[in-house]
Amino acid sequence: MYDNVVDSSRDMTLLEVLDRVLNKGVILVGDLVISVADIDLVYVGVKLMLSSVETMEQLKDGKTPAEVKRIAGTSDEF
Amino acid sequence: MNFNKPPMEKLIYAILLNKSETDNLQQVLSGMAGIDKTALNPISFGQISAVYGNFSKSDFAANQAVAIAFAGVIDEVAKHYTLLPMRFGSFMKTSDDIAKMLEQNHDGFLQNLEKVENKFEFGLKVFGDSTKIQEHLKATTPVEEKPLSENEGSKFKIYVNKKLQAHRLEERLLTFADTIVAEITQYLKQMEATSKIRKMASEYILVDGVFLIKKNQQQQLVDAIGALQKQYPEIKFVLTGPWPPYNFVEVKLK
Amino acid sequence: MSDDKILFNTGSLDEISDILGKFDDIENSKLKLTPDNADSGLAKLVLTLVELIRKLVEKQAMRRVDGGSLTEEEIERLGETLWKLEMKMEELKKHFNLTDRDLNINLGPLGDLM
Repeated sequence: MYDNVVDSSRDMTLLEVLDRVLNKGVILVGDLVISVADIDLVYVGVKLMLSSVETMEQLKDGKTPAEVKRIAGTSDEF
Repeated sequence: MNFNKPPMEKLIYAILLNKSETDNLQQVLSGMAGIDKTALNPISFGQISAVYGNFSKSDFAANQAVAIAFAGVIDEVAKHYTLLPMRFGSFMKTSDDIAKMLEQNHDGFLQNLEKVENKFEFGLKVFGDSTKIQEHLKATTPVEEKPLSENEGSKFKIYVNKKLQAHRLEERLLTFADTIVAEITQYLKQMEATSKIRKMASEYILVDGVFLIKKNQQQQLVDAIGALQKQYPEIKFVLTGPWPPYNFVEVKLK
Repeated sequence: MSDDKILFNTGSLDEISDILGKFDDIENSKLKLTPDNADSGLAKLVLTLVELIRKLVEKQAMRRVDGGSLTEEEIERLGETLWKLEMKMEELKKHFNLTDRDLNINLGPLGDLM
């Protein structure tokens, strides 16, 4: 009986922790990556905008969105 | 075949407020352990610092246990510094990259950090069984409802009626959630808290909120929730915290 | 984490353990399309959006019906259309072997509209 209570408490805390570290906090780049055969292809950002992962990789390399736009030649907004 | 060790990348834990003239961050960090007992490294720019660990990104196990450990590290560091937690899995290639990121976003980070200085986040979830609440509402409030037409013969009319009942139930729950939120807000106002509240986040979660309050207001908050629970025994209040300010990050990185 | 973060709670949390169980799908943040589940991975994304729109439309329709300004005939027609939409959705879900739970991906701010 006691075990159940402890497990539920633990589950609750687990849920709260995971929700925070996985969904909140400072974001470097966007959220969702769609990959095909383990190759990352499409990035779905928090505003549900789609861009190629190549663009995203450029961003990760520290380039600003403006620089990336020039390189990628796209009109994606970030 | 490539036998080289996979390249190490930097996993960032958090961005800290570090205004002190004497920078003893390195010292503080050397007394703590990162994920899997790895070292915690600082890098600073202006009045902020980042804390990171070195990991091989390709070998990095992004599973539940590691995510929990990550949160634990942030909790430890938060005992000594005001910080903004990074989302789990935030990698950068070099420490120069991190320094550049700090530089480019310095003012944004600083502003955000000052907003959360000396404050902690607390989370409230109000759970409710819609049937239980329904009964409670029926007993306490007279509800005026326009009945649907008498002609219930057609299959589609019955379908609409069913959907309409569900819709009305949802509206009643929403109104009830509004009441709860109004009560909570009263208490929060007294504490000058910043808050973000969602109603009916899911079928069982009537209210889902996070609050930012001063550390020394924790008991006041616990008491307030206790009072609300007494007032509304048919629903379940669960308060968690103190948390680092995961939900109060406002910085949009350049 | 060694510290227990629960500050206030009455009784046991067992009643909500069902809900807690629903949140263990943390792999949702990376939709992996392999040759096996390519269909369902993309379908999940598309159907979630379609279901969102369907629910919004249904909600709006109910507000109109509750408002009392529609005629018998209009309600009948609305009912028929909504019913067909829901049936179509069930068909699609069955075809891609997806349950309601599969479609409940948290799309961020959009989720608040539900």
